[in-house]
Amino acid sequence: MTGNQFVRRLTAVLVVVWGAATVVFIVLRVVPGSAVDQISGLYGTAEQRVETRRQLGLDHSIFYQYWLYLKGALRFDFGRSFYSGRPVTDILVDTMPVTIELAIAAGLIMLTWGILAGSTAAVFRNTKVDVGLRGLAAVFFSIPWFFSGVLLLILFTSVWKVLPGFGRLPPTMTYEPTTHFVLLDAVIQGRPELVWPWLSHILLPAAAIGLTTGGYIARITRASFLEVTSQDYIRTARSKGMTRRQLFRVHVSRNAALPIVAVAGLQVGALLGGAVVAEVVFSYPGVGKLMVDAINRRDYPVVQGAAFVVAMCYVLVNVATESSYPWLDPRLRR
Amino acid sequence: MLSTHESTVPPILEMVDVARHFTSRDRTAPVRAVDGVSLAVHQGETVGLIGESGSGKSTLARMMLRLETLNEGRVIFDGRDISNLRQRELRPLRKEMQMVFQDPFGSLNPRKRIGAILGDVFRVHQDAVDLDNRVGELLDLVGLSASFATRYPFELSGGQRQRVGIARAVALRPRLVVADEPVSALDVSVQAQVLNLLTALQRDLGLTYVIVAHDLGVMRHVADRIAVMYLGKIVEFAETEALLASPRHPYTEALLSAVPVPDPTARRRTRRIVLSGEVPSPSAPPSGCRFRTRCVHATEECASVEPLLRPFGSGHYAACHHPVLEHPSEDR
Amino acid sequence: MTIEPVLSVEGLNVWFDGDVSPAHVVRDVSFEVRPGEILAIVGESGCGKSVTAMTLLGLTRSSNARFSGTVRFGEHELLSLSEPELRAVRGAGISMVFQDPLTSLNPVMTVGAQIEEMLRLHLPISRSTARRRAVEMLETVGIADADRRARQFPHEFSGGMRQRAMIAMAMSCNPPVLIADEPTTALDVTIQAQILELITSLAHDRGSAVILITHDLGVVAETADVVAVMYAGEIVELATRDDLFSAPQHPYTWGLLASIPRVDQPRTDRLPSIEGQPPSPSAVLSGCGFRDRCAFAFEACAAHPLLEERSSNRHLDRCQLPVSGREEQRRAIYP
Repeated sequence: MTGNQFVRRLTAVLVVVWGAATVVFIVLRVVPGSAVDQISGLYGTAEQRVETRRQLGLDHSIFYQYWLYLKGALRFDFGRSFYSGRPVTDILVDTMPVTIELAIAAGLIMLTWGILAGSTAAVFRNTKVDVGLRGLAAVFFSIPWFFSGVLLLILFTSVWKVLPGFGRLPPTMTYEPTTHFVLLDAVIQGRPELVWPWLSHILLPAAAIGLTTGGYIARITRASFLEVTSQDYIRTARSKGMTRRQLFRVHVSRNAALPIVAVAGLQVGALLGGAVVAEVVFSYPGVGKLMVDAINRRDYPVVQGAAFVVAMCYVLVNVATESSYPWLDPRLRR
Repeated sequence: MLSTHESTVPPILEMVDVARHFTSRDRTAPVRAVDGVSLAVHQGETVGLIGESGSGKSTLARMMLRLETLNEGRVIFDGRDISNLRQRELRPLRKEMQMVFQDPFGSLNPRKRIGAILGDVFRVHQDAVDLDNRVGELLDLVGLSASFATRYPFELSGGQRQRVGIARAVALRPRLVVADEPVSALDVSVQAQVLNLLTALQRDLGLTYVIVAHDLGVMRHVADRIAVMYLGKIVEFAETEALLASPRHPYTEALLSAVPVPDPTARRRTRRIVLSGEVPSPSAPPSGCRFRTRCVHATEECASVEPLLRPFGSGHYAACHHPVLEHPSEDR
Repeated sequence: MTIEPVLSVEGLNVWFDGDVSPAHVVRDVSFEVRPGEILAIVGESGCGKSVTAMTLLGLTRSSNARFSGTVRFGEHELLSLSEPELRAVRGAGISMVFQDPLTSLNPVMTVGAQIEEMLRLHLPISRSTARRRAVEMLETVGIADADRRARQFPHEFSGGMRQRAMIAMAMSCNPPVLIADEPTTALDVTIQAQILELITSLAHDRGSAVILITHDLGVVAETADVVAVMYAGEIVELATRDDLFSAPQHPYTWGLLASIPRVDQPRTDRLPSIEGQPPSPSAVLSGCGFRDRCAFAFEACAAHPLLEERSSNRHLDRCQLPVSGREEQRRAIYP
């Protein structure tokens, strides 16, 4: 990437994040119900309310509040929670990794099922298998996450009592985070017994999002495969005497991957959004649930901080995806 | 300039020192697709633009009709400078100058019937009276029966589609028709039919043609004068017979000798000139004479001084420091 | 002493099942090629020449294609080979160069890697040997700076260079037969000459037979040793190049030759052309396929003519016009 392009990319990142942060800031203060009411309660005296306002820093002018917010954001300091008093940064350190784990797990499910379904449909084009898979993908993709989440919840925790229905780990299990990522900590702390419970807890929420977004990946995969296999260079490769498997592995997959990667990268945004819903349904302690609770409580610093960080993650993932294109497709280099 | 006509009638089209650059963000040097071309086309004649890929001939053809912007130079149509006219002002002029495109598949709207496609031409120019009859007449003019009006492009063969493209171009009886590779996408036997149609229409409707092609055989058959282009410049310009009998520019000579002729005995009579290397990139043309990197006669002068078009007898111009002066006698 | 043909096709028929009726795309095609010989199959679009070529390599096999006839290559009968057996022949026995080198090469693989792939598919050599040989092949086909070029991608090559690379790839295993399907159609005419010269010299040097598919009779005149003219799925004339051009026998050949605008002949008022259009592949032919467009059709043409020697030795045609009158008829169309 040239210096010029890098500067442009960086500017774009900053602009988007700033935009998201500003929108959140404004919406929080426009929405009815104030933080003061939440904390002082409906029966607080007038003096108490004034004092609360001062303590929360809400007595400053709105522009000053905005300025403080942005200044702090640059240092990743978003103040303290109105509710618990804990520094927002600490809260985020606890909760972001949870959502990241969930997004990665959902992403793996999305890609695995999407690519398998899409490529199978392409190979068996126009047969019942193809029609069936396409229908399935369309149905899955149309299901809203709260529906898929609740459905899975009922099926697997109530009807067939095989999986747990809430939390990240069993409530009886102790977990002292080092990296805040369970799998890594299981290795570092030497606690293999963490792995299976963690897996059984993350499976349902990840599936709730991954299966539905995977439907879209399946369609893109199918289309991409069909397009690639009709290309002239595949005919050339066949004329060289390659087996179907070799053709697939060497020629088809590398070329079909390009649009799939592009779409998958953009789907991360959907994953993050889906994570919010899944976390609420499954009481999974990630940033999504954190934000929902904080919004209900009008806990401004937490909402602002979480929104900022999530926006940044989304933008960075997009930048990373776009940066991978020249690497995947040599025609885009230089 | 570049004209063999001694008449006092002004040319129907004049290109004066026109240039077209394409800039791209990544590259520092712009691609000069057409780089200083001057040309005059007279009423009733057919001028051919020939060249290989990167020569700029298609770009030049589009510039003639203002379908491409001019970065430099002027286009003068019928005495009027149209270089800077806005699209709105150009619209009435479109009745006078039309284009036939290369791709008979891509240039017709696949969702419209032939009758509608042709009818649109009349409608756009506020001439929509008695459409059915006129569309029928138009189809007849290009050798298609009236039944074609209700068909869709995909139902037609390549040759038939190209006839429709020609019908569309001549519908409003323009004075100038620019045809960009009108027969390149067609089979040989169909090519002949379309070429015959073009020459017949020129005779019957008094058209002036500019034809872009890469096939010298086609050129010989239709063009009165030929401009040979290389990397954005005209390297030779002459009446067809003069160009073919005694080409002055080494590139023209090489082009001529490279054309495979359907006669095995012909090759034994002429010697083949095989050019070394490939066409240089249009974004970095060689200094001085652009052809020098592939030219057997190139000298130091060719690298430092760009040759200008010089006359070689009536209306024959070539841009070369070491032009070909002798031609072994052959039947041509 | 006659040399044995390296490939011989007899009575090849190809049908593609269509929505309405099957299309008889290749009708009873027979020809042979000898080592070092260049056979040109010439015809216009839809005549079945490309399908014939691809069928030799089994590339047209699919659920809706049917075949009959024999294709003898060495001890093999290609039409009846299984897919794995056919794969061994592709590239090593018969290899192919396609029309558009830009789309016919994988855009995300280096050129060198694609040539290496061909080598390693058929020869038991190591990666480094394959890499070396790939670079050597690029040099052989006249690409300068071959080592650096092998590590580049197809879009970094010019059109002519890409075609050279395709030829390098096709010839890398020294196949006895090379099929070139319109190898120069997408190229500039000055490059065309270079590529044709490359193909012919490679073939001569290595004793490979070349089947050259083209629509350009000029290319045929310059390059071919033997010519087969195809029309509506059939071979209508088959002769040595010199015989074909000096004494063409079939009215379609006359029409084709006459309708080419020649750079070496002065302009005429009207270019002769063959009226009408070729029949669609799904049409059922009754009698001679060219009958409807032929100026000389007569009663005998209602019977389907066979491809036979009628005029001179080793010059076959599929026309029932009496040989004695042909010269005069030909001059009426192609002076």
